[in-house]
Amino acid sequence: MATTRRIFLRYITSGIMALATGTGLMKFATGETAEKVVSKLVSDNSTFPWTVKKVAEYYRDPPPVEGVRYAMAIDTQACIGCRRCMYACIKENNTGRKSGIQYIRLLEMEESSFDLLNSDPYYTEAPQEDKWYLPAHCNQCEKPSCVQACPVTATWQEDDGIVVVDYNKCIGCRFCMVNCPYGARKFNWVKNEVPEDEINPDVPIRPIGVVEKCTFCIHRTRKGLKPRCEVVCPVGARKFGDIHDPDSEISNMLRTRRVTVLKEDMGNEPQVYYVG
Amino acid sequence: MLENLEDFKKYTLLGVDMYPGRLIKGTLLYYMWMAGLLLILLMGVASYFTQLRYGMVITGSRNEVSWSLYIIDFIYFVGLAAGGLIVVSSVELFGVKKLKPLLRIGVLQAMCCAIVAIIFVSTDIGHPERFYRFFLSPNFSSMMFFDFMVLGGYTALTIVDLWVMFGSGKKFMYAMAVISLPAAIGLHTVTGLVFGLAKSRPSWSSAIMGPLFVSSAITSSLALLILLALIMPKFTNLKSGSEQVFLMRDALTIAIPVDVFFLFSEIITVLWPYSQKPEHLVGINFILHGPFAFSLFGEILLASLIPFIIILHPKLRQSIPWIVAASVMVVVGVYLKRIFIVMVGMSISPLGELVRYSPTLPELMVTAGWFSLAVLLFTVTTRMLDLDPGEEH
Repeated sequence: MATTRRIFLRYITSGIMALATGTGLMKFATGETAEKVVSKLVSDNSTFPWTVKKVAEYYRDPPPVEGVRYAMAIDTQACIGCRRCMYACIKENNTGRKSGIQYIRLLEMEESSFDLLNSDPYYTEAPQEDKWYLPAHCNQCEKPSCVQACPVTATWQEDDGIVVVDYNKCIGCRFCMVNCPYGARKFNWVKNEVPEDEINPDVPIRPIGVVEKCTFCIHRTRKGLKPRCEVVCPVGARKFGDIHDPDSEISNMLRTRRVTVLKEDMGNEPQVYYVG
Repeated sequence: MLENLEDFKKYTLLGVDMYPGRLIKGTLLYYMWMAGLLLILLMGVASYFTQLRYGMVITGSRNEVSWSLYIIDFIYFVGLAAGGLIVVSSVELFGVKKLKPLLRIGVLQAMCCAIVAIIFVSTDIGHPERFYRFFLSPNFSSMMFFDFMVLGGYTALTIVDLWVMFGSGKKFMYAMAVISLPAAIGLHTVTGLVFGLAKSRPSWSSAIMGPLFVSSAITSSLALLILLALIMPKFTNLKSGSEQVFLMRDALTIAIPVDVFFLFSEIITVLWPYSQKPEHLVGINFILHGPFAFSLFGEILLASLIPFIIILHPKLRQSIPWIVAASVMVVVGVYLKRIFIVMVGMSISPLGELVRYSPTLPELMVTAGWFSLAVLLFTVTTRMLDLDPGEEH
């Protein structure tokens, strides 16, 4: 009998010790107790102002205009690589200032080469004589492989061609990022932090741990406005519009100028056309 | 230092005899072993809480390298989960009666590894609490969806197998063997296809990925089972020895060259002068000259070349210590191979940017924690259960 009790006592003691070590380690690792961690996790979610219903509504209000297919043409002969669109995009879309997320990447390309493998996104001086500049972002593909790859249907293509993400459904597995040929999808590795006075009330603030992407400024373009990157471009290199409308500027451009798309061989039918 | 199972109180659940008393009574070595494992596990759990608190920024992954260490561990454990069910099917379908003593331990190996594989892949996702989405809004064009489903199904299968092997379900042995073999091959193929169907990652986008995952799963799990078949009889009532080990060594003699052949087919396509494509070359050059060179060379030496020489050598192949050495090399080498597979695909972002990835300390601690969880699960189950199937089988 004594043996059993001894064993039982040993069992209890080691259990208490394990618990104490665990809590201590947790404190060591996080600086707070497990309870606080969990309560913070819950409250982090509640600061997100968009409930499940609201995000779904967000892409329906205003709804896509019937028969419209949005696309963008970018004049690479005009682009001077100033990155104004990059910075404006971050402010417009409430992108976390510490998230390291850029929907637009500006690539410095070698002269007479279309080789992405030799491109440099970290250039410091632009424009340079012997380089050209390629703004790359989501191509709002007609056959988006990211949408096909999402295991939980948290991302889809709207009727006007814009590929959107429901931030309340995304599980954050990043399989869409693996499958996007244009590297257009970004993950919220940290909490999205935007200074209070710089928040754009038209755009939801994404929670941590979900994937986000360029939406062609859906909150502007659905109202007939131009996307922010086109507005700020100092040289007018970007043209956004409806390719189903034969009189639109972009349709005219696609008819009269020679255009190319990125990675045509992937078969995604990207809708960002590069002119020049 | 074997304690008799009869000394402990027996509990029976669904015909499975369990001896939970053995968990709390053991030698000093056992206590130290458990304490060490628990400590590492706790460190891992603490790191995981840090990750939940601050987000996945605590890992070395970034937007250019969206998958890294956790996925390496995930595919490694998926591979290790193959062994048990292969043994079941070889006993029942191919009539290899000599492997019978390994039936029970094989199932436990498969179950522990499959469970830890699920934990690893859940660790890698940003919102594990939204797991129910897989059932609420499944996307049948996503290979990731199928991978989760097959992995869950496979884990359930190993748990059913546990009941079949240990409990009152012995009459379903043959049926389990018939289901298990295609399930195992299916799991590894689907996991391979998660990578092989990604057309935007040129180094992954290859038809060989499915077969390659099956073959390396078989080599790594067989090697692990060889080690377990030699170690576990010292601590449990498992009755396995050189007879079973030699059989599995012979299986490795076939599995390793197949594995090498698949990798060779891929690498020759990448490197042959008129087959080279720039996007493939960038990946392989990054591996050959970059920080992950060790993974390819280590894999070739440890998982293929040296063990193959050992198990072909007429003298060395009869020596248990050499077989142990070869098995350890394969188990380590296949991990290097997993590093190679993930990093070669992630080596360059779709917009042509070379990756800069190195694992961070919290990431490594979580990995160590879940590795230790696998060992812990295996220790607990092997201690609690009767590993000797007796004569009735």
